[in-house]
Amino acid sequence: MWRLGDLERTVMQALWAADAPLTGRDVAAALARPDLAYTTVLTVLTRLEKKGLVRRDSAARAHTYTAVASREDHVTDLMQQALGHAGDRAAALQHFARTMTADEAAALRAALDEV
Amino acid sequence: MYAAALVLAGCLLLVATALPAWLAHVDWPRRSPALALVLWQALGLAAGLLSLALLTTLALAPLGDTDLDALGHLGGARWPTVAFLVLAAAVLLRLLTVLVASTARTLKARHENRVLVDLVASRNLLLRGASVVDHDVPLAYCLPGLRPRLVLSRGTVELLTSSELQAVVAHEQAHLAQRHDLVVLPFVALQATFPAVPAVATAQAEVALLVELMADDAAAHGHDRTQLARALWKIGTGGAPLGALGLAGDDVLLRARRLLEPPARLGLPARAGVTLLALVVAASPLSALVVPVLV
Repeated sequence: MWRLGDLERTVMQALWAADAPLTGRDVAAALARPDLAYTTVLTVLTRLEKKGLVRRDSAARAHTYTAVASREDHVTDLMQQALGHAGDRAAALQHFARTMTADEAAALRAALDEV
Repeated sequence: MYAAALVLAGCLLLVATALPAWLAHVDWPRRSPALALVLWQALGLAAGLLSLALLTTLALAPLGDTDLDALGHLGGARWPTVAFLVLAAAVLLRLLTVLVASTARTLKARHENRVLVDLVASRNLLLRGASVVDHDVPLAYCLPGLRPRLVLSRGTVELLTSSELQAVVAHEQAHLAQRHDLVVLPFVALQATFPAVPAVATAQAEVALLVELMADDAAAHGHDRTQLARALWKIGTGGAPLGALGLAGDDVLLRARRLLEPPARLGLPARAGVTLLALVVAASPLSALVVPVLV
């Protein structure tokens, strides 16, 4: 069973792998999954566009789609969001541990060595 | 009615200054964090209700000897009554709008992050479905909510041993299962409303620490406490860019020491005493209704 989240990822991977903008048909062909209807692919592309992950170019006769940012850029974004420690962020994400100061690290190391 | 105002003002002073200072100073919350959390919640609730009750009582005092009596003479209200009622409404409105705005910002930040997590992370079924992000910096956190995510970086997975990793996952899952985000949220909003009040900042920091202690305890239930302390050390020194996470929030060292030398849980009489105190604190705003009838 395909969750839409998985489909979105697969479509993004197809766009990331492509050198040039892809049409909906290109994406469907790149997925090589005959069980997926073309309209489903278009729906996913529209969703991704709404999420701001995909840009649609309407200049050509068939609309083409491009990934707004590379996978690496998204990872960087994610890490920056996660490492940002403003009040709302801190409340939004619950971190396991923050970075320790050198003194704290030394004190904890000593305590661990005693165990 | 003025006697009630005096009682309310006294309660407010205790609830907003003396009791938070005491609760932040004593040691027992480290031993029974859940109980301390309940007391903080009672204090927060009481502080809000006492402020509103005090303003309303001051507004009604010139009009009659009891609230009912005063409400019957609202027609004869003069400017002090109007001023205090407007102030009470303004305080209530501000509390509610900040709570709503703070909640909205938190949900938005979470949603944005979850979109990215689902896009670039791969799910690891061996780690209870945790999302693993391909990045060197060690990172472990959870995104609470209806569609929760437990996020680890590749740096964390490589840095920790298997049992340390399982302990970290258990810690984050405790946050998600016990909905600690909902516990923390009102205190974050309260701090946004009154950024200059020391007791509010103390409350927020203490509550943030207490939920970490609770998650540590939950993880220590099925996993080795030492492994969790080791994981704290490894992630805390694992090379995250200093400054990015360098702000003091949860006290990592305190948590680690507590894991290595677990303190005994608070005894039954003490727990009963604290529970009673929380009940009295939570009920203290009712003095607005009771005192005028008694006096």
